[in-house]
Amino acid sequence: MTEHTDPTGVRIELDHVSKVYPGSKQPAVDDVSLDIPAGEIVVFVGPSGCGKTTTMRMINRLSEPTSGRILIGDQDALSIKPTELRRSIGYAIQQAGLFPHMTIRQNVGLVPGLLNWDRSRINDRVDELLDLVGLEPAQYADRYPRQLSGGQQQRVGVARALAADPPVLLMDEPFGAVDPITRSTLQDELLRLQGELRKTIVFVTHDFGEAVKLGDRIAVLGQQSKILQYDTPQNILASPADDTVAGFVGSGASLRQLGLLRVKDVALESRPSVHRDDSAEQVRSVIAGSDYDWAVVLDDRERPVSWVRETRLRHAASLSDAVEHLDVVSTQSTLEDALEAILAEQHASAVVTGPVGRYEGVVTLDTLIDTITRLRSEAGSS
Amino acid sequence: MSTATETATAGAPATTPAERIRLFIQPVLVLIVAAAVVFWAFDRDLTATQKENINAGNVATLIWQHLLITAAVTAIVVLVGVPLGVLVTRPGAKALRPLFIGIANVGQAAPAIGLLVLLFLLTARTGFWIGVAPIALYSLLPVLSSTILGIDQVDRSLMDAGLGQGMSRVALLARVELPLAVPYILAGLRTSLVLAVGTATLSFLVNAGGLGILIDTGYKLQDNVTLILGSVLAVCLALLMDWLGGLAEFYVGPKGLR
Amino acid sequence: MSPRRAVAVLAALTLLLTACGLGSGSTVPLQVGPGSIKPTPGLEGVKITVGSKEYTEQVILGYILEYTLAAAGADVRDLTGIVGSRSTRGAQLSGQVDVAYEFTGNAWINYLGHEKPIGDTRKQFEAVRDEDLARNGMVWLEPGPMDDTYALAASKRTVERTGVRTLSEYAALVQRDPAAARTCVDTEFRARQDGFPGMAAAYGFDPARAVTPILQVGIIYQATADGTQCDFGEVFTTDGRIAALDLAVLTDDKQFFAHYNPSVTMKQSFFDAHPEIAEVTAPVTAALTNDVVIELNKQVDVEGRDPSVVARDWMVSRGFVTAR
Repeated sequence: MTEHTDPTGVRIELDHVSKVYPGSKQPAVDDVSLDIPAGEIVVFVGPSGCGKTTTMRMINRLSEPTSGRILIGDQDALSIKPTELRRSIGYAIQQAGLFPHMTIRQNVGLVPGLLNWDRSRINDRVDELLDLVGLEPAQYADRYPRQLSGGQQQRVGVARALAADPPVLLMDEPFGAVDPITRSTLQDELLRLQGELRKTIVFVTHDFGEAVKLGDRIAVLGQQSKILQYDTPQNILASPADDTVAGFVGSGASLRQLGLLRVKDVALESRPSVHRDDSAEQVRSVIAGSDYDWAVVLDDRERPVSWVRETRLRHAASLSDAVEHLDVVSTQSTLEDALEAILAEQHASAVVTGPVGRYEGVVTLDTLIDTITRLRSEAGSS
Repeated sequence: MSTATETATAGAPATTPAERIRLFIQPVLVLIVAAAVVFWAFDRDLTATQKENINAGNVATLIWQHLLITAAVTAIVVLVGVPLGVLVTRPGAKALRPLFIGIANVGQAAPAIGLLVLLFLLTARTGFWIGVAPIALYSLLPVLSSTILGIDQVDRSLMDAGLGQGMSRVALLARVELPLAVPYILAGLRTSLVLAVGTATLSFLVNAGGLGILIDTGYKLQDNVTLILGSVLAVCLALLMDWLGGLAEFYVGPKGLR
Repeated sequence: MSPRRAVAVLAALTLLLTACGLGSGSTVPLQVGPGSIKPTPGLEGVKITVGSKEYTEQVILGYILEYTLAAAGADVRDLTGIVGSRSTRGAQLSGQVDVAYEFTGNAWINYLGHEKPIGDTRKQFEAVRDEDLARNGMVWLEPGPMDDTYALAASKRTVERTGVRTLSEYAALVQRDPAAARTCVDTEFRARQDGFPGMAAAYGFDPARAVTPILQVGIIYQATADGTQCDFGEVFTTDGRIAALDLAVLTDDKQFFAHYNPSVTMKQSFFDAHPEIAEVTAPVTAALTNDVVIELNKQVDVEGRDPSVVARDWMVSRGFVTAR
């Protein structure tokens, strides 16, 4: 999920943290202990009302814990002045929360301003960040939030959270209020940024699919923020800890798992291949000599262009009369894409091409089923 | 980045074309009507009694006094109403809200003459400030309630975003809550201004001067010229204040909200 | 006329009458019996509507007139308390009100339209009597001594401090030291030619130099008595507060201010029909002095008593009528 650059983020440790609201019997957050590694995205996921947002908000003390310790990069969060603490933690919320009476520049430069950076340094930083989130500074910096679309406002929200280059980012369903297409784009953006910056990000969502896509680790939280399972997405998908987690993961876990692996991660099989300018006779004999009743047709650069079935070849005069259209997947494609291709073709396999489009082999349905089984057993034993 | 789905909405101003036309026409009309009534009053054979009031020096003085009273009332109303409104919206000060709104309500419901005479009896003094203070109390409610409304309507998520980024409560108030409340405060101020100008026609009763002298003299002596002169000028002044309020709403409000 | 129409016409008439603010009057508030005023044959059972303006003094005078006529045996209707002096006059001219006490100076200036009053009391009365009869057919009976006019007053302390007791001395003080002669006035007095400007001209001081804070007429009395804002104040010579606040009235030594003596007035036609009214009312009118009226005003305005009771009690104390 993330590239291997040095992390700029720091470790966060929640040590028996609880939150009890005055006058209520049950704690909203009950004795949560969690270790968030530096430079990773940890997603808090759970049903509404489970306390995931409250738990996150205790990290920057928007909600004060009633007991427990919170360490941010080995510093006790409860010993620093809250306003000072929050200026070193990026904060992005669902409605973006951009101040409507301030320009984009003023919004993004808010925390640097609070930290008394000098004007030119702030301006440079704002330009840099707007570039980073894909908004051209010359065009957008002096506009007002209401002149931007929802997706653009969310990008600004992210830029704002990154402005003072904090080691930690807290994100509370930041992509929840936009349409699915924009959400997907923003998620890709975040992953790209994280690849470059490697901050420690605590991300709250109720959408498990988002959690799988973004998280290095996922904390599935139940009532009162109890940790039901804290593990990598693969492990949770492969082996949910209990029925609640399984219910949350929902159906389609297997498909999701396939989405996490690429074709190059699994074994390929070989199938007969012939060339475009081979004669029909030659092709018939290749097929006859194999265990299969079809062949991949390659061009002179060994790239798959079509496929041919023995039955159609029987009565054809030349190869070109018998070939059929072929869809291919590359070694970079996910197994989910491979499954899609397998289901679409009629030969129960997906033809795989390598880096320059050369035919490498096929991936079969059996291989995919074996892979899932293997993942489950690996997760079960871990 | 696909730009197809990200169409930026054009910045639409908060005022309609009709309001902007009015902003331009109102002062012009007011000046025309005021000039007309002054010309009408002065350009006739006035009795000696009428000339006591209808002379350039006196009318100018009365207009000036009326403006001073209105300015003082405005200043008091803003300096008292806005901080009170802010105070009453602070967490923990909820109990104070009905108290101060109640006082402002009483101030507006009570007849202004009563307030003026009461203040005189309490202080045994007359003059400018005795004429100003009751009018200020009378005109307080719109500014107080609009300040409260303006601050209350600030989106909670903005407050959360501000606090979350490390703004202190004071900074939040000064840089977020108040600027966003300004359009509402200005709207309330506009109402207060017009109330003040109208009620300031009573300030003369305690020696604060103003156009009320023309109105009262005209009424008591059944002198329509003086009466009309005073009333029309007072109305013109009120419309002028309304215009100034409209200008303030248009220009002083935060640009991002227009 | 169909019944429905009749009702409609009646409703419209009632609406019209009440819209004018005047009904047909009510009964006399208190019953009185004869005293020195005895039942007079010519007035027995005669319907007489008595009117007055709405301020205290006029209301008291109105009630006094009602009790006088009632004791003489007339069937009196009470229309005291009409708002606005124009309205009362209009009611008299139109016949809705038969008799009312009016003031000589008021008629001279406001009804007959003269700017300058006549300095001599008797001459003023005669001028009004003659002109109002000639122009409007209104009859004026012999006036009383009471003179409810403008005056300047001061607290006793101010009088002792400045030594000013007359308007001439006041004028000299204004010329000398305007700041020591702050004179609180109301809008009307400040503008009227029979008010401050005329007084300044008569007494030879420059009104522009004088310091004249403008106050509501009601609070001038208190402010003058306090002495902090006003050294002198405009007063009406028969106002009850003069006694209540112990104010000293400056003498109008040049006789500038108009004279407002009370007379019973009525239309010529009414007088010709009932000339006995003159004899019956004469002794009562003659008893109306400034001191009497100040006292009666004080009882109503300052002590809060009911004017109808105050009027009756005075008439009883003078033996004009007896209480019932």
